[in-house]
Amino acid sequence: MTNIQTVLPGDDVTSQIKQLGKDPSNVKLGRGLSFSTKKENDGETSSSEVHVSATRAGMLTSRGNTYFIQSNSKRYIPTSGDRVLGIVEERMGEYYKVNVFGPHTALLHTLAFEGATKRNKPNLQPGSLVYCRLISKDLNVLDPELTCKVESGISSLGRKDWMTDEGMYGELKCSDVTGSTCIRVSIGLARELLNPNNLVLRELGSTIPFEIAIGVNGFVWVNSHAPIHTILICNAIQNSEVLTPEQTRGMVKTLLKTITK
Amino acid sequence: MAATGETKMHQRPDGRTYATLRPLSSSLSMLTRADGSAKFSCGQTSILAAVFGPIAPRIESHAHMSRAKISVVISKRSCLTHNNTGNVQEMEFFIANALSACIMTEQYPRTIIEVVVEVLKGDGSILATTVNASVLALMDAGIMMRSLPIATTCVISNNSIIKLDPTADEELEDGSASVVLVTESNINAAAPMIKDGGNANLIGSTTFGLCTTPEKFLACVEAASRASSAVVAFMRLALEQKLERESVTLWSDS
Repeated sequence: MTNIQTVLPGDDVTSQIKQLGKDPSNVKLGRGLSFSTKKENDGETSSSEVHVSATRAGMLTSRGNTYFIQSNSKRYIPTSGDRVLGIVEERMGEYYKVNVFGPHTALLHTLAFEGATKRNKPNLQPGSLVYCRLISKDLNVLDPELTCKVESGISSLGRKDWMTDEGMYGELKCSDVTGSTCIRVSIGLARELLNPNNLVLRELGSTIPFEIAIGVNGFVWVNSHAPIHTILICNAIQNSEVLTPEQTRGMVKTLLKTITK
Repeated sequence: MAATGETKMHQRPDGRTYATLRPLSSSLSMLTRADGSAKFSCGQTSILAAVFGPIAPRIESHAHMSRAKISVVISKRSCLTHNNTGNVQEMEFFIANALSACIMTEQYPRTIIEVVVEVLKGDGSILATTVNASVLALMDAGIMMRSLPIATTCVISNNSIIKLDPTADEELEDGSASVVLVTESNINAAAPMIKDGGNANLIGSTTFGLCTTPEKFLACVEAASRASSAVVAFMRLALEQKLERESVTLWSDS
């Protein structure tokens, strides 16, 4: 992954892409970039050139053949396929209204759980936390829709009934007794935490056993044996957003010293 | 620096030439609850802008089906126009229109993007500085934009001299008119050009006082286009600082 430079909305980045030897009409454009074709009429010949311009402010970055603008934000924009954490707000007939911290509340069908039937389905109360994924056919017109069912066709994720708590999606139980809580973070930090090699989680995990669920909507649930461990983990995660890797290691060590005496 | 008789004539009370902008300074992301925020200062004028959005509207009927609605709210305590006689709602509407021209509102249907503005200190060019502060806050929030709308204030004094970025005293001079111009900073070569060779992408304007001839207006437009590229260069520096810090602390290299 190479960082190129800061771009502002409206900047024409076609030349930057050409500099790396890539043909602008052949690259994949990720978030923050859009293309337009400009027809040039030089008298007799006319050719259309592809111009790529930025629509967000950030660093122009590339991963393989995909270019995108890397920038942090706090507001989640729902995209189909995302795995998010939401808070159940109320039940409206056959649907739960779930707050996923995006522009609109999302809908979760009461039967959208593995093995759920009309007689045997979870009864989520307002205030419950659910880990689910977004399925939406037309986000421009309809509210986002969620499901706690595993994607069909992916056999690596087993289908566990909702009654066992071993399934991938479903309700996350927050309580003071078992030491779990949830915090809101920025979208960029949530994506970094999802990285398997994330530094702060690795450092914490080497000393404290804990469980964590990260939604790409910037919502994180942490569970461990004691509330004091959970608080420490939440603080460490939030601090890691503004510290360099070396500072993060030092910060985690200092925090861990306060509890392991 | 020795000034000849000629350059002394072109100096304003604070020592600037007619086309110089005041020193700019800014601060990003200072508000934790807002999705994006920016404090932008132009000389003594200091504006704080916060962006919330895209969010669902409080009343469903306020939303458009296919695009976002931009709503600008200026704190009622602020003095917005140079002699306090302007209509605040008119100014809010002007800013919202200027921003709507450049924000890709079709990407956020059925939502509202709210810009809340607080005038911390006012010393002339308040409306233009508010537009620029809002643009910085929108970039901080990550709202998608086609280009940047940059506003510049020109004041046309009694003897037809055009001065850029006036202070409050210069705006209040007898017989002067001030023109606020919003230009698009599209560096894209595909931007439309005016037929007579000018490169002004004007997207909005408003005047206070009597701005008499079209020639004067066009001269202001040209001056504003040139000034806006200086403002964009400053914004680029401001954002670079924030992004470089992020790339060291937040983004990992994999």
